[in-house]
Amino acid sequence: MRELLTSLGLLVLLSFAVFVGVDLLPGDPVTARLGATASPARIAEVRAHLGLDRPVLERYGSWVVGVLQGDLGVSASGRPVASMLSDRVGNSVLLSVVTLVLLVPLSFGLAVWAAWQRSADRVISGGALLLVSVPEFVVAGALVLVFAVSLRWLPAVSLVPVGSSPLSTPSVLVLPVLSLLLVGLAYAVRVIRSSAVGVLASPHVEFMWLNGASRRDVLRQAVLPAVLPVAVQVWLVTGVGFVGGAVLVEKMFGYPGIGELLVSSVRTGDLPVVQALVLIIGAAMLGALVLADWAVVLLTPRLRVAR
Amino acid sequence: MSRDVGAGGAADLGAGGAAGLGAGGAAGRDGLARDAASAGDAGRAGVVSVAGDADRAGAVSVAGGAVSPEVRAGGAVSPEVRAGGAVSRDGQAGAEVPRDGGSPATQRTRRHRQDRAARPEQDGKAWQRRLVAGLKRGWWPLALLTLILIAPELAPHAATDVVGLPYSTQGLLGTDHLGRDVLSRLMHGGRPMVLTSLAAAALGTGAGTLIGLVAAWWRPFVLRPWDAVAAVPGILVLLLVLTAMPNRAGIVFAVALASVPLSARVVHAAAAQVIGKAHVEHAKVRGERTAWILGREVLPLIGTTVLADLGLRFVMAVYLVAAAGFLGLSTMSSDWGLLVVEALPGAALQPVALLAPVVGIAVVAVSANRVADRVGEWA
Amino acid sequence: MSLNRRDVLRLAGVGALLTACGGAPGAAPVQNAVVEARRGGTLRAVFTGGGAAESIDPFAGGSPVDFVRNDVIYDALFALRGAAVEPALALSVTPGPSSFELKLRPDVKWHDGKAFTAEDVAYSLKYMCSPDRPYPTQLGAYFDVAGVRVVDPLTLVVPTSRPVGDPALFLAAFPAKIVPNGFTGASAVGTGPYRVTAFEAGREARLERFEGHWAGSSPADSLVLLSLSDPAAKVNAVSTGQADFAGDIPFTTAKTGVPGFEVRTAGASARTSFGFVLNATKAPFNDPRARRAVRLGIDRAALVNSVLLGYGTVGNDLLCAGAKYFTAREPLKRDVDQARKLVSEAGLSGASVTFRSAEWEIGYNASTQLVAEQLKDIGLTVKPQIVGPAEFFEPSAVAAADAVAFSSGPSALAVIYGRISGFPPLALGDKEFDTAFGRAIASASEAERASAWETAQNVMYDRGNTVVWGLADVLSLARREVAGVDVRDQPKYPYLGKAGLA
Repeated sequence: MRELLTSLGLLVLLSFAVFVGVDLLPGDPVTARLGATASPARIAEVRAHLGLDRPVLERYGSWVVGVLQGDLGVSASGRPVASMLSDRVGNSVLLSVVTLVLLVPLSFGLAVWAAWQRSADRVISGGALLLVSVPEFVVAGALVLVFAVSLRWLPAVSLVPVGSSPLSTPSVLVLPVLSLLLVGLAYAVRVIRSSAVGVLASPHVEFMWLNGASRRDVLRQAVLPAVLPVAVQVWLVTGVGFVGGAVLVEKMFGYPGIGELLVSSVRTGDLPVVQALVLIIGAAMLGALVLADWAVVLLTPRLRVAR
Repeated sequence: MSRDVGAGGAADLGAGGAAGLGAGGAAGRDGLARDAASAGDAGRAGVVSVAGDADRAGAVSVAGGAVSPEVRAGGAVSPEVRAGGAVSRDGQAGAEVPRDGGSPATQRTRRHRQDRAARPEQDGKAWQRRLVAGLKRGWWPLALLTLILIAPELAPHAATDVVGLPYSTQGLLGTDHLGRDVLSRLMHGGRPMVLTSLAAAALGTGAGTLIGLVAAWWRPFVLRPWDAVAAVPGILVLLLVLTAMPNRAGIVFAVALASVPLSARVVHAAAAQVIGKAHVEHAKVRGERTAWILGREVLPLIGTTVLADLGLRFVMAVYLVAAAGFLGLSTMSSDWGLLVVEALPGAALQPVALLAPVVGIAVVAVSANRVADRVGEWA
Repeated sequence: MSLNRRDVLRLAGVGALLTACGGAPGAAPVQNAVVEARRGGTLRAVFTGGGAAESIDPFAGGSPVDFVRNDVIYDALFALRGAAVEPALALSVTPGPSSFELKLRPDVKWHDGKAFTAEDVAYSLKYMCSPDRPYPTQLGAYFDVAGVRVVDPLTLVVPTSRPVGDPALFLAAFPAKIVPNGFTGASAVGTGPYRVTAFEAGREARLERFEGHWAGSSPADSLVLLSLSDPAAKVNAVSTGQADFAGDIPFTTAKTGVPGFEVRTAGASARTSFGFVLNATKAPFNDPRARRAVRLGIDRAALVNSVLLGYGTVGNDLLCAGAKYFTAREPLKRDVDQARKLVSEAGLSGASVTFRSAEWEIGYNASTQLVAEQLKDIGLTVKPQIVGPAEFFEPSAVAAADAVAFSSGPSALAVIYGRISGFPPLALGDKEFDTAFGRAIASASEAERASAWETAQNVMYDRGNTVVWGLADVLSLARREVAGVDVRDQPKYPYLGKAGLA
């Protein structure tokens, strides 16, 4: 409970910092929108119309009041923020969840396999190190080139018909998911693998071997319990990281998530949209942290008792 | 029942074994020495650091000491958590962690831990010796660094010189979309990229170290506000800061800002162990100033942790700098991230212009990852 | 170390692939021809989108896909066809000294079946000029929309706040789509050839043929307009069969070619002018010699070859190439010695100037960097000031810069020069120009307008502050079957009302 409260406090802190910070940015949504040749009088008029001429603290105050009433405000483009976000947040979450569902077994399997078998380790660890070292837009670009442009197996862009979820045309999900998966996998495998290596190298496991324990026993009684808490943390946080961190991948595939919106709203200084997105991503991340804490406690019997 | 015992045992021992290998090694063992934070706190620490890294970069870093607090908590509260912590910290050691527990490296480290416990004062020197030895072994990253830094002086053309038609095969690597020599731009682009990343990493780790030390010395809650920063993906921090400061200083600041929460956690975790040690208590009793104690008694003992963290922040910086270029936020005249972005539209016309900087980035990142791994092993 | 090597090998594999699919360099673009499309079928076209900021309100969206979409949902009173003005929802206009009278087309129906009347026009004029609109029209500077008087259901009188000689051109050239009385932007009801069946900002709009269109119904049964922001993604969408047509594609795509598809060009009369506007309000470019030195010092051909990859031609420093009243003149030849002399006469040798740019359109930053290199030769140090698109037009920063990157399509001179003159740091501030500009706007006589524009452009050519180095082709990528894509005035936003599959 205390953790939730702390997280809430942090969220308020974050929203305030971003609000004031974005307000101080040189980019002005009105000038950006009206273009090169709007007269200063016209800019002032539109600013006043949007309420941008009020002091920043006053605007933050009314924003907070609005959010508490479930109103995310109106974008500088004149549209309600909630309607701009509704579908996109869902799509981004979908992308993360699908990726995560694949990431969990794959990262765990590969990592343990790498820790277990030296020959597999060279390939898996090497691949992970390489993938971790190449920018994701290069990974995504290479995937498009191979699977869409050359082989024609999959669509190059994630065009999703209006009013339907990406799930209705699953093929558009494949390449974005694969791009995110490769990036996340590289990271998760590295962390989980070394965790498993550590366990396997422990005197306890040596002792188990000496006592004639089977591979299965070692895996189930030593490796799994020790590695799982780490893995759960990695998965949870990677999953949430996908929601906000998929900006580059969403852009490359034209995926209708929040990534693009995030970039464009920050660049045009569209404060209400930035605020709403920071609030959602921040809350998701802090929530995941709390969940991860609980997961650690639940997965470690002695800790569970101590509580 | 048997499962429970197995879990506890495995975790406990696993932690010990693994701890020997990694940067935060000392932490796990000394966890007992000092009051530990609550288990929840410990779990949190580990997670938070994973968090920031999730959007890639530091990925590997998680490790750092982020996890060490868990280790510490583990000492006092629960071996299970410690297992999680120690092991995940190991992630930092990454691909090269020896798999067999009986490897000479492990044994050396274990022995070293005993030495250190006995003669903490000499530990700093031992660490320096190992660093020198390590540098000798790790000549190639240094050679690479040197090469990148002097390359601009050797480049056949200036970065902005137009030497021919766009996308021609003129010169060793051809020309780019404006007819500039790709080889020259590659040679000019390495230095700013590496220096920017280094500066950002140094600033982030430096500030993180300071905050981590203060947190360890005084109260851990000075770390809490930084959780707010850690909750924002690195790429968003970059977007926000770069919109305000669209220049090199902006990139340095953005990357540093994104690194601070992670570095602070790592350093805090490592320092918290050291501060409880006898020689530090001794110094306190002698009436030394706080700054002196932190600088002379604490910092040398956590030096490798800080260095390993620096390496990971560097990799993170390399990515964020490249991502800034990709999103059109970078305004540099030539750095590798920008070269990749500029080459993307014409990739089919001039693939080398794209591949050269990508390979450059990959080589730098792989090297930095490996160096960070190695530094971790020297602990 | 072994990893690094493996690294390189794998990437080399990708490289081999890149080269393989590059293939032979592309053939020259095909001139876009308006072939009649057959009736039926669905045309899927992809354009650069504006993300969540897109809108079916014609005065709320500012991205290419917004313009293309709203062009087929709504109609204007008059429409441009190349340089000519054609009647659309209005049949005629009678200019007077302080007002003009509009006669509307009878028997026009809205998508919801209601009849189109003068009340709709009166409402639209107020709607489009209101500051509540994210992208209001600039007609408010000329028309007194509050005083519009409806005479009968098909006639109305619009007072002007300053003399306007050719209101039809203004109503065609400025954004002035007509919306139904009481329109709020919540739902899209227009008079255009297509009506909306589904729309989501930043993704797509599904449009269906409106059988009751006054100009005859459209060939295609339906139109799907897709939004993408990444240029490579637009090309991939067509080349992998997800779309039939992509507007405004990069020159590199044309250079490589896309096997099996046509790269089409909007043609020589519909190009985009690329250049800079020099800040004539402060030193050094308040000195006509300095302005001329820049015009003599740039290497236009090199810029066209690099920035446009040769897809286009050199510019003659005058904006609005292709529009009515534009006068063709010989572009200045590069003369480094003469330019150097002018620079030293103006006392500027070694001076440093700031050129402000952002990637507002592809090519701004590249041309700024190249011009900086070229002007080194005449003794001017150019500092490219490259910023983000959001802050590009920050008034105080534009005023502080010495030059700003600029581009325009073949828009009416009244629109472009009106904008530049209305923005102090971009205005030339030349008496002769201002007088001629005023006459060109106000005169009711066609001959006098033509001569006034001639004079204004003479001034710009002689001592102006616009440097147009190139005219860029506007390219699109299409399946061979795509027909009837009509470039009316802005080649980047073609009219799809008569488009379909052949």
